[in-house]
Amino acid sequence: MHSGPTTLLQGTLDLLILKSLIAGEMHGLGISRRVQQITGGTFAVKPGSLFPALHRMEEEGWISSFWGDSENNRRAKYYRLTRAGRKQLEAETKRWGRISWAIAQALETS
Amino acid sequence: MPRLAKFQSFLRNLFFPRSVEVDLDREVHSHLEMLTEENIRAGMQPKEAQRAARMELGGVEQVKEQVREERVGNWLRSVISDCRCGVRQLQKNPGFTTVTVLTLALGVGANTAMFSMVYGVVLRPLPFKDAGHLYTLWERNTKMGYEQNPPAAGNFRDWRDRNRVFEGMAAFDASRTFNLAGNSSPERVDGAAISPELFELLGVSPVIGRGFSPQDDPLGQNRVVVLSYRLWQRRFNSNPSIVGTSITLDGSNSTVIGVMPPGFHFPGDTGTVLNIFTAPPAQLWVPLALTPKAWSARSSHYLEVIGRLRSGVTADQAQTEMNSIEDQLVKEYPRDYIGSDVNLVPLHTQIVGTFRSALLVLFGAVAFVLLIVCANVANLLLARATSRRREIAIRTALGASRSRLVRQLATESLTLAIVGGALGVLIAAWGVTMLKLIVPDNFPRTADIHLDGPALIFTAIASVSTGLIFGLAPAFQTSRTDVNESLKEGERGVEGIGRDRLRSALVISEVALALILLVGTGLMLRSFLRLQQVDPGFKPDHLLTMEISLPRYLAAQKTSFYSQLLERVRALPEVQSAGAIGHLPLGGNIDSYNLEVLGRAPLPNEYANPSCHVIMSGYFESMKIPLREGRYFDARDNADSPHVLIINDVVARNVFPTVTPIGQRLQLGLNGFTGEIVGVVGHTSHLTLDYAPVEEVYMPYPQVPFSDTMALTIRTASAPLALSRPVQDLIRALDKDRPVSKIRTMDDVMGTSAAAPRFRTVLLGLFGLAALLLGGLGIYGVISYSVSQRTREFGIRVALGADLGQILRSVIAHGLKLTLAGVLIGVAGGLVLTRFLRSLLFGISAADPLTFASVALLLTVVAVLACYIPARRAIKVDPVIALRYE
Repeated sequence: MHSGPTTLLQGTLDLLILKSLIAGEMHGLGISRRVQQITGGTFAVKPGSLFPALHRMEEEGWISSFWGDSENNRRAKYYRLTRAGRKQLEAETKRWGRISWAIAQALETS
Repeated sequence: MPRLAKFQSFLRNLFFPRSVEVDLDREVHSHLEMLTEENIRAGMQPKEAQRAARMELGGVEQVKEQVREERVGNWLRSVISDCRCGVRQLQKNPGFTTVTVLTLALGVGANTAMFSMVYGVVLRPLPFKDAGHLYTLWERNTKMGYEQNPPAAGNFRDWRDRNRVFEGMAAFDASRTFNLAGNSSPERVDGAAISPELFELLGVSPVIGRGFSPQDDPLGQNRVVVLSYRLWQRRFNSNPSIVGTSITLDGSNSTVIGVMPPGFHFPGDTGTVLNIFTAPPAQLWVPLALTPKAWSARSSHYLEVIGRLRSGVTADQAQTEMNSIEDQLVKEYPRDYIGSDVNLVPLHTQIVGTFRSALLVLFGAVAFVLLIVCANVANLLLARATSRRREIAIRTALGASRSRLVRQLATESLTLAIVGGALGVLIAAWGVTMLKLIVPDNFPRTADIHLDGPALIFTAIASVSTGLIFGLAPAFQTSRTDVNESLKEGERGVEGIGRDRLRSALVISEVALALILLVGTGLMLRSFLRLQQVDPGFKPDHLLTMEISLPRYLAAQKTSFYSQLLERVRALPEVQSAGAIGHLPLGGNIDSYNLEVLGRAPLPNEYANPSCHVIMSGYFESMKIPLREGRYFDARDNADSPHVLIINDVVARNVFPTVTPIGQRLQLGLNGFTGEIVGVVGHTSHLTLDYAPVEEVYMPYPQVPFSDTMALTIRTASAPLALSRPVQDLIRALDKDRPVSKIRTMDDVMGTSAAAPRFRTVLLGLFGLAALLLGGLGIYGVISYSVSQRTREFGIRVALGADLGQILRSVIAHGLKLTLAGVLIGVAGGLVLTRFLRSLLFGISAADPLTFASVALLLTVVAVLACYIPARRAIKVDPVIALRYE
């Protein structure tokens, strides 16, 4: 199942998805590209991780979905942030800040 | 809100799976198309763009499966679908399913039945108030080897009055029977004479009327009786106004003062002397009513004592206090009683007694059978898994994760286990009924054995853990399938080394378990046979016995009744000899009294406390008890002639080691009976066959006509029971109101005394047989599977001209290797585990080499047979078919 590193990664993925949806509603491919863009290409989100994460987050109530037309007039499923999602993003951002600060501290000492 | 959203999703996933699925499918496909478009925009050819998109997506079905895994309530969905799938799989293989479910049902059923028994007898609390504080109290008599000798009335009174550790103490005489006459035909009923505080001590009160009060007790002039619920229902039609009415008990009127609640039969089910015999369920109770003279008696040991410990007092403190009281008594009455100390036994231990260890051993044995069943089923599952490798590979290819596969396979096993368990409950219900039928008469608490809540909880736990035990290992093995290999190979399949090893390990452990169980069975069987060979000191064949009781007869009338009766019995055709005795051998009664040799100081260390019997002349002759010296009793020894005694060879050895006992005069603690020894006879087994010979003294009944009840012993030339009618006719001709009871052959009496060892031997034998069969099946299964896997190889070897004998030998050697490994482990385990049998064995060591060797040989022979059948198949392989065999 999920071993240690993946859970960390999963949390990270959630954070990145929430963050990219701040810019507005987006479909799966859009989110994937946006994550790639805002992380400077460090994270390439594969559909195999993206869709399970989106569905889980929707069930958590952080995002909601609706069917709409894509830029090329194709039916696509769009996601948007809910109020709970914004709160979650704030919490996750703080948490991530703490973690990265702590890790940075740890690496600086020695 | 998030919680609510989650719950909504859960409901949606559960109840509208189709719309959820359609939505997912559309989403993934739209994603794929957008990817393709993106690629085309980037300048790819449409075909290439599509391919690249698919590569990036990583497979539509896999992505969908990954999403499904994340959904809320996914576990529920997958459990349901796994169950459905499991049931479908099982339906597809009816042969496999039937065999597995039936073995599981038998295993779980047998375990549940044994658990019901262990729970009812050992674990369920006794139906008395604060039963943990109740103790039975005995005098330990190390000289005679009695751990539990009932105290004399005088000693009981002093115990009760001098101690400060017991809240209350009550005595009872459990072995009383009464002639109940009145509105219908006379009958003998078992009952007890009890001190008035007994009911209160146990915390049980009558449902109608009252219990005894000390005013009822003193001398028993105003006769009162309390009835059991069952007797009240059966004999008095549940008459609600029974209290105050008069019934005829032993020929005189007694007033009913109360009825006890249903199920209360104390001291029935209470292990008595030496923890071997159990008093019959009491049907009525009368006050103990001892005369002042009886209260001061210190040499006749017949009262059983129960006490309730004060709260806050430990068993150790009580023990110390009681021992110091006993020491005082020994100092005060040095000639009357020379005991060692007081033996305090918790009431529960007293009741469950020796059956506790027997039950636990049997429970352990049946658990072993279940483990063997598990190993067998695991093997079957492994074999089946091999033929399912393609299915597993396809599932893996379609994106099923390993955990998902393990879960699915485990669910299938659990389904099997639960179906098996459900069927097992039916088998257990039947098993409990059977167990209750075959338990020995003296088995405690049989009424408490049912298939109820705790037993069903046990079944559930046993089934589920069985399912996990036999299902998990094969599931892990199976799910570790290499997709490419499996799909390429098709159904042929090459055995993985790991799987082969697991299968061998299962067979080895099966053989080891079976060996341990069989060794236990073998030891029990040999010890039982030893017990059967013990010489009881008399010849039990062709002997008829029955009991008659003559209350309200004067002493002279009793003697003349029995003399006349025996005279007429001897005149019957076929009768060779006839006599009578107060308590039959092997009936479990010991009435012991002290003994003093007149005209001689006691020898140093002399301490005789023989078991005393009154007999009618003809007893020794009919029982064929050998005369060692002097003479038997005969017509000379009547009420008016000088008093005489016969002793057994144990008394002769202990008390008269240097002089001849004939002509010596003895005085007994039994009413001061004094007489001259006229004969020495051989000893008889009076308690049980495995109990060491005890001192015995016999007196002629005409000179001590106190006992109301006598057991006739009649030796005939033909079938003993054929005489029962003519003898009863003779009794009726003498007194038509005398009920006759316990009409049995002496062989039956012997059988009853061996009932407990027989019970555990038979049960353990059944479990051992099951283990042998299952073990054989296990070996057969594995060898025959490996033969079928190697059919091609054998075909090639035969085609190349291999020696058939060699193939046969190699197959058998494979099985034999596994068996021998199992045998070795089993012998080691057996040496450790048979220690627990030690207390149940007689005349045989727990590490008896003969038993170990023969069981090992037996298992090996069975294993060779089990290998031979598939081995024969291996050499009969037609090379042409074998090579085509896919």
